[in-house]
Amino acid sequence: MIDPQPWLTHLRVHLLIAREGSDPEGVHQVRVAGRRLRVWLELAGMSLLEDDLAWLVQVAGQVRDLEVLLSDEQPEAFAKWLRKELKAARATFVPTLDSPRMAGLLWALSSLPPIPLSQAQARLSRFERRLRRRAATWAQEDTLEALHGVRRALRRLRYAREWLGHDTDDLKRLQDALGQVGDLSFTLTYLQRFEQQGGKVASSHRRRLEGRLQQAIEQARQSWREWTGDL
Amino acid sequence: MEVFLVRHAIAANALPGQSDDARPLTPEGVERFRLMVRALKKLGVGFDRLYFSPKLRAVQTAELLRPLLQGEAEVTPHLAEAPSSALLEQLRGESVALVGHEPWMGELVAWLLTGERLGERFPFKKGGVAHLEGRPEPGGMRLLAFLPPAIGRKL
Repeated sequence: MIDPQPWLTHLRVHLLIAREGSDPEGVHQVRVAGRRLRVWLELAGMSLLEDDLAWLVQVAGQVRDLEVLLSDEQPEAFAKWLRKELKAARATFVPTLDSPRMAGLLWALSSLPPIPLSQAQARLSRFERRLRRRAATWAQEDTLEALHGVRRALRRLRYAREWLGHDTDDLKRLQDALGQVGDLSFTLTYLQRFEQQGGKVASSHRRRLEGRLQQAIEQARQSWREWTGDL
Repeated sequence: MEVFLVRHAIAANALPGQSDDARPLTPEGVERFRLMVRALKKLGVGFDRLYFSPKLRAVQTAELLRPLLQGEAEVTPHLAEAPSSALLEQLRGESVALVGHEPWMGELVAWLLTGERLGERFPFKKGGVAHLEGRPEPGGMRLLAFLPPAIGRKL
């Protein structure tokens, strides 16, 4: 049987840390637990609490992205703007932790029964098919958006396999390669937003990031080619 | 706003040590409620928002309603307690389904129709559906239909 309760406990523990706000690991682990529980729901053949978990992951993600950016060295003006954005994101995030929806979500998750391993195993192929579809789109379109689709499908497949107790070292390595693209592309997205609001950074900084992004995309392609024989 | 109030389908009795919240639907409850969903579909019913109580039997009933939903589902603890203004203020959408429990669903129907909480006048069977229309405030709605679960087997 596959019991969701350990990850619900993980979620509850990290919601307290996320609320307190001094350790970025709190929000990070809230998002991780939310994503893992969404995958558990899919393995269980349930779709209903998916929207609620997606909502939690999204509000946590707005804080997490900014915390990740601030954990790296950034130009001072950009960092100052990011700190202001983080303050605003936390002002949205923290009240959601006290919302009726959050209380209902934790309540509902705590009542979910374990699912038989065989039932979850039978659903694993859905995750593999989704990844193949996303990969086909990436091969056809070769856009960042398509690559992000592959990254998300890959993460879901990894979590699904981990719920089933499978080894996922190969998926983790591939996910790391694709994750570099994700990190750099959202850094550039925030930088663009900063500039649209009148912020200024040296153009060499932007060019450096864009160059690193191109390298990361090429590395992601290479890692994908090396791995595709495994799927 | 159109509101469809739904009482959860037939659920199992609690096993020793099992919380009331964790009681699942029985296979018969699932089967019968599937017929109700099919009947609602034949009647052209659809929702753009689905709210449900966190208790497992309500979650599982709402899951069966999912094919009628073109929008977001949202769990709310307000459907696992006596009806409140907080519940009504939360509602969004044009056609909304609410899945909950007795005696509160009957009380909610009475409150929305008459402004009074005379729940015993609108007793819901398990898997029953009430269809209301109007403003979601006490006394602000009118009753369009009160569908017993048996309608699913007849349509």
